[in-house]
Amino acid sequence: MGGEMTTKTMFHIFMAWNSEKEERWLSEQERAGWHLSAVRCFGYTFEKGAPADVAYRLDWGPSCRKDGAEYLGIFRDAGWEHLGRRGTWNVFRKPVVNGVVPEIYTDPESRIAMYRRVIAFLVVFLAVMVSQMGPQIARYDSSSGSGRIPFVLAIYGILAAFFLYGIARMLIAISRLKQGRPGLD
Amino acid sequence: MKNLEGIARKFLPLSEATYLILASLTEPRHGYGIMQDVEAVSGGRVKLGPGTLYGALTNLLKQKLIRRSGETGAGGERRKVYTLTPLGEKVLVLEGERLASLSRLASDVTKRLGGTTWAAK
Repeated sequence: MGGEMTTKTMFHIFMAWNSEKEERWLSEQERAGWHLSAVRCFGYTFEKGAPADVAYRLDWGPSCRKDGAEYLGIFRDAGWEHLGRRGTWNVFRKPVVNGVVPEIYTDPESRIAMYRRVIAFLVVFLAVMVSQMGPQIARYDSSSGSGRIPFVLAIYGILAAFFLYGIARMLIAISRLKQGRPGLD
Repeated sequence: MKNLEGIARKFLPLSEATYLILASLTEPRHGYGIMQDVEAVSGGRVKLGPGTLYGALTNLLKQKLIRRSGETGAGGERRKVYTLTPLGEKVLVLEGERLASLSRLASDVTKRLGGTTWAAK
């Protein structure tokens, strides 16, 4: 056939605390000539073209959806192209010109505020997991016959630990920003 | 209204970005207008990213220092216009007075230590 692949759709998920790693990964794709053409629920579609130097930024969007047009308008006016949403995350890109990497957050305070919005969301998830574990533990105590931890309780426990880990990562990133260092890795 | 100054004082001191945004809104402007104005009056030193600006506008609206006073443009290019509220104006004046007295001191100290101030340039 000999036809070169010109588009690729990839499954690619990320956790909030890895969002800046995801941004760098998208820029690497761009440098390899793969331009993001569509944002999917669990991944991306890329089109093959010339290598380019482009900054990608993932922003945890406004809590109030009806303000979306004003939010996107301010990003558009500042030269950022909106490629789509993944849940609450918005994917933006802007070319790097003369080595100047553009930023959507230009002071640590506003970036910290964004991280705090992410943490508030993670805390809700954690609270749900913990509240679900309560009744499971009660049941486990009363059925003292078997020594095995019930499967459902184990799942809730693992998820709760996962969200707790995420919250810890975001809090560490905030304290780094307050010391004038980069936030997330 | 006697109370306005007391409420306004609680917002001081302002961050540099917040001061520049409020100062820019002595005239009604949309988000992009604020970005351009802040960059111009700061001599290109302060460039507000859209995430920072949108977050600041959301906060200032919540604190009732600014309000939305209409829209410009049409269709997909519609932009909200922001204006200072009387409280926002008061905050801007009080912070201006604070900065001006600080700036007089800075000018004296800098000259005494042999540095140059904007007035001497």
